[in-house]
Amino acid sequence: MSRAKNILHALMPFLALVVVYAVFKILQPARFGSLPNMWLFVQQSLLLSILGCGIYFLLSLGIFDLSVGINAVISAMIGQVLSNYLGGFGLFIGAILCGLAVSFTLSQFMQRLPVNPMIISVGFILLFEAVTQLLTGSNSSLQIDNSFRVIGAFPWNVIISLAVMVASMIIYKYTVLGVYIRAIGSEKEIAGKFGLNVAKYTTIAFVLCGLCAALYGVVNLCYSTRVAQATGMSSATAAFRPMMACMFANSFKKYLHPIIGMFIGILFLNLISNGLLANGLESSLQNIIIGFAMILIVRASNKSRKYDIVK
Amino acid sequence: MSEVLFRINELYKYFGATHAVDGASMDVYPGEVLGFIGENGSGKSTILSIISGMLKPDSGTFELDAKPYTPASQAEGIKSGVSLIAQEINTLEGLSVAENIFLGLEENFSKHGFINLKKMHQMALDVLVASGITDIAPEDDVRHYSIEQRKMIELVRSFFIKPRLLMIDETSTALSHVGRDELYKLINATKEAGNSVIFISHDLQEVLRVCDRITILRDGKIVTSKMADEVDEDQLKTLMVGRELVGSFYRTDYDAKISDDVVLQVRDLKCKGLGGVSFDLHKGEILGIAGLSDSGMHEIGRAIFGIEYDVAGDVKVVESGKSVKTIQESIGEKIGYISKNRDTESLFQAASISDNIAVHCMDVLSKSIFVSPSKMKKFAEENAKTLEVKMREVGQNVSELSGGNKQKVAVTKWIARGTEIFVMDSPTRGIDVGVKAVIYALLVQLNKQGKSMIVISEELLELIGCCDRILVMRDGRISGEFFRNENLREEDIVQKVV
Repeated sequence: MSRAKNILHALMPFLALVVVYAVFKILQPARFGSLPNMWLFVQQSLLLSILGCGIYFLLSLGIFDLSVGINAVISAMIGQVLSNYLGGFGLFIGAILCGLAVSFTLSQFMQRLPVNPMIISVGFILLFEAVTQLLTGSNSSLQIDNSFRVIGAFPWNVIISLAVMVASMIIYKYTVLGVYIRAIGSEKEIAGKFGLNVAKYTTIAFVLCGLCAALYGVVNLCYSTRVAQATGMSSATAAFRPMMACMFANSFKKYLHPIIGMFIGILFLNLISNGLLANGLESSLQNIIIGFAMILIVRASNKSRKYDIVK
Repeated sequence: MSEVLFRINELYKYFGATHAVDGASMDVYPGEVLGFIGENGSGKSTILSIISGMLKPDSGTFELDAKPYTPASQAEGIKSGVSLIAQEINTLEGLSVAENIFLGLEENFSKHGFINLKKMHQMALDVLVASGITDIAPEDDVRHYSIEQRKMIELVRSFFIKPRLLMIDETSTALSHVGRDELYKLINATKEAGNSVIFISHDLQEVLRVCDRITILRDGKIVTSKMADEVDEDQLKTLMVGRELVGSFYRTDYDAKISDDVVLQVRDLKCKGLGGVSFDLHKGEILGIAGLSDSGMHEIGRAIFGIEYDVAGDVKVVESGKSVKTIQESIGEKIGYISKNRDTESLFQAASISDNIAVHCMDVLSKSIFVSPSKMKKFAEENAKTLEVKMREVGQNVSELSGGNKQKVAVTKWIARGTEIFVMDSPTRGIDVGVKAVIYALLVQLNKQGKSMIVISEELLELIGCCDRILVMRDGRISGEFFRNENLREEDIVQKVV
């Protein structure tokens, strides 16, 4: 595999972004692609990348957890409640402690109960969605003081998002913890044979995911100033887009750090979604086109991989 | 040899009603290479798994350097200086080569949990180069390497650990000649450092060459131990199976004429590692393909069956006049392929014996979209009898079978389909002398039924003993052709191999 080909593969996700942008810009020059709009997409994508970082740690363990979304919601709510008494400190501490507690509990359930993890994940969603309804009561949402909006706006939203992404990138690639999480995700029995404490590092990965969910919950709450109760598994949908982006990142991880790949994936999905919206397509049709686009991109990247096999 | 490095006292292990290890006691001495031989299921691998910490014994004790040794896990075993290179692949995909070599040993290049990647890659490169390996890059994901190369990575890890007791379980069959040389280097280095090696292999010549002493196991019991220079291969075979093996494993006929009818025409077959190969396979012929592992010999089988990427040239089934390019077309034209990577490419490990045998016969077994489980079971039972697969029942998972019995299932599934052309890559790899005899007898039996076979093997004696004709591969091309005759010797073929 030549260096030029590797560079080309690394550039492929970026090229996909440029192509998508160019197509929609040509189709809707007035309604799509202005600089302020693009900057907004980047900020939204950075925000969702916080959640994506958490999901990526669990995906590296081979775990699909849809309850990340409800963890973000419940953490934001607890943060909002504590912010009424302790201000910004309460907002962050409340959300983070809640996020860590939920994810730690989930990790113990998943490791100790001989039940399919997906069922536990769904059980947690239903349980905590009920809790959000109890917390919001008849208002159906909790509102935070307007003074906290600054955390959800530029530059703090970008600073927090980038800080989480950079920390995740370092943990994933440059720490013993990152190596162990990937080893367990590859084959936990073999990882155990190498002396790795599988239970310990699995729990740590969950806790990292909980931390990311809490931070996402806080920044999202501050951006919109309110957090709504979740019903009918609606919180699970929040995890879909970052989860798709994580899979997108996995396809390019030989050429691109997966956290960067994940961010590009979210940006790509947001760009298509907004481009289709600008063209007047309803949301169900948008999802069909987004789904196909993802499959094509991932397929293209996998096709190139087969020639890498060393025999 | 008064001093004992490792001692096993009265070891027992049961799997249900099966006595996998039945009161084994033995000593291993410093600087000794001890061979473990026995038929599949004799308890060799189970003993090594218990010593390594992977399995718990039902009773029995160990002593390492005269101190009690009770590993709770393989990791504890490694920390105590006991390392196992197992039959199975033990590298982790998603991790780089360097990360695999040093997994659990990161303290050499990390501080406060942060890894110095540059230092780790450099250390890995140093260990790889010191082991004579130059075609593996430390930063690459191991998933991009072949099974053999991944085994080499495991060897390099053992080089780095420098264990007090190194155990090697049937690893050499996964390696080419170059890989085997590296393995022997590791064994010698361990021995010269005053440490010991327990070595399992079904290749008795290799055991005699590599080991100082040989322990023979049968039905979970240690039968006897012999110094390697006191026994020969035939005596070892007799001790292994518990009776004298009469006659040769191989064919004794030398006058059989190869049919003029061609069943398969291969013309200018090319792919990565294969530079244009043409030959005919005749009806009822056993055609051997010999060569070094990287000579293109394995690619021939894969290319014919349609597994290889970017294949050029033509593979034509003469009777139908059809050219085959894909796996589906090959199966449709009654071509069957048995991969050298039996566990990953020839069998569904997590599926039952019944499913494995019946999977290619759904057109016969199904009615519309429905398959009768009882019909499938009966079909599998009848076919499993052909090769006397040792099993509890056909509903048993293939992963529970020994290596030799897995191979029998892999062959049976193609026989069940009524395959006319068999492509067998290393069909006796990793199986014991008893099952080898069954496979050789099967070749003769299929030969008598008029089936045609391509047998790819690095074991020249096996090819000389079984084949009507042998094509020798070198650098992706055919470098020689030999017809069956009494005077054909290994040396004649080696001249064309190297």
